[in-house]
Amino acid sequence: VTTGRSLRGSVAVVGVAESDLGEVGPDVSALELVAQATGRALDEAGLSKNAIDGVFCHSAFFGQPTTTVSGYLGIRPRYQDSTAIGGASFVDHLGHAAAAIQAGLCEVALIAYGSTQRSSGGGLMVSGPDLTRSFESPYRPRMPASAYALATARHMHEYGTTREQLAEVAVAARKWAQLNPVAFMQEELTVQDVLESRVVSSPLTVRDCCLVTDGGGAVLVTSAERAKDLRAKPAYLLGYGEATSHLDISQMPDLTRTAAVDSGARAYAMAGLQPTAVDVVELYDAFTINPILFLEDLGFCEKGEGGSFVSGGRIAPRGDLPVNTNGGGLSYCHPGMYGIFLIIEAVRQLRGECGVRQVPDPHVALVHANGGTLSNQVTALLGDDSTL
Amino acid sequence: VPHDGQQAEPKTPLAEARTEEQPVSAKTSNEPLVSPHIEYDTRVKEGQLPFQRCSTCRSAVHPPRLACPTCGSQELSWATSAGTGQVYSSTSLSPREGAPYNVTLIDLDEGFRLMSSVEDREHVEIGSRVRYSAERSREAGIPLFVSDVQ
Repeated sequence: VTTGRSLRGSVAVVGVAESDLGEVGPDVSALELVAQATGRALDEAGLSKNAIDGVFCHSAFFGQPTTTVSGYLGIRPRYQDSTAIGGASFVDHLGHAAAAIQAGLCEVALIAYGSTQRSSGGGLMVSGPDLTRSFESPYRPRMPASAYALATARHMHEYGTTREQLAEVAVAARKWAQLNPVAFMQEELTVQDVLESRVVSSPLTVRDCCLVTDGGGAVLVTSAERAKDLRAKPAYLLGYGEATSHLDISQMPDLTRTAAVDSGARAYAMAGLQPTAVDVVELYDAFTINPILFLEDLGFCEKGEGGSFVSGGRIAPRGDLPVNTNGGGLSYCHPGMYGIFLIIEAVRQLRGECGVRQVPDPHVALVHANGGTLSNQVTALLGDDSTL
Repeated sequence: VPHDGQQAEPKTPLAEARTEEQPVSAKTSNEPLVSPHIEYDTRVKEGQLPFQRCSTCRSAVHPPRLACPTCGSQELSWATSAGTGQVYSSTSLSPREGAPYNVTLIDLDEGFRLMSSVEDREHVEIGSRVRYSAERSREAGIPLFVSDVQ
């Protein structure tokens, strides 16, 4: 079995930053948010933009994403990758950047994202025109929400997962968000509030769905060797895996079992770690069903037990397993695609920079991103220097 | 053999095999490429629920395409579904304007799944039986179903 084991610990994240988040107004562009976040990440790492020789981006706002970002920032990359697998792209970029750095194709990689989805009029963003014939759109699903609603309904049918258990995911996210000053939603939220909100696509209400915000992020990655000389405490990539099972939700073989089973197994194999080694978990929570599916598929509980696993505040602050410690896509920030923010929070937790929401003494963080309609799954394990 | 009717007739696998047409290979045919989507639409407008059957691994294939997603064979032949199936999952939507409707995943008895809608229902129960409505599908130009529970 090829595990890519030689990648383990070979690169580190050395700079992370968000741009301004929330609602930046109609006069700020998505590209400017990319530039703002990149500037902050470079400052944190103590690097010049001229050090960047690998660029990794995806965008629903501009074509040729890596070329657009490189042109604006004045970077002349010798390696670029615009892998576009929805919100999972940026964790995918992290794995791809590690491979490129290890192969000597670049030395300092920038992963960047920016979106003004909220200020641009909301709506859930689709990545560019889709010229492929759809056998789903004539039935007017509200995508992506309806796809996740179908998965939710099936999970409830097969495993007895309840609306209250799903609402617990949203409530836990809100409690974490209340500890994060830049989180978009801060007001109290109860299980009852979630259940009584407007139904978007049954059984999901608007509070089961991620936010529509503006925001950008940047992540800088370099070799473990070079990372030692930089300003920030390195967060090493210990493992990474990706898996894709379908494009359309009607073609997903089993709506209760995602390709995270495979991406997770690949990441754990590369890292040589088990779920029990994970101290903090950042999961792409586009909808409340997502963390339930991923906690099952990534081995934190048995298949079908995700609903009871998240109940009783277990993934909330002071719960047994810290999940989505920034407030997640449900309450912190979700500018169309969320993947990069998972990495940013995991790295900050490993550095111990998270203030009142800091998890006590974490050494291993799991990041899991999802893209499309449960189509693309990417898992990464990050660790501090004690894990090397 | 085009499907004739309002009522989908239950078919045995043997009967279904008889309706199966000669496979057209995208690899060897000298004819210009005709999109399977066009053929599909034509058959729906004739009142059928069409799907493809892989001549190599016998998988039922939907949506239509040029190669089998299971084994990769380019030998696919058209077949007509009996139109009976079971609801795999369903979601209901209530637009601000217009009537509520459902978006439903249906497992057809021949072994393929599609997204459709069960007409005249706001909520559709998972596991319930549904059947193809040739008349409504022909009118709409897309496959539509009705509940099999009277």
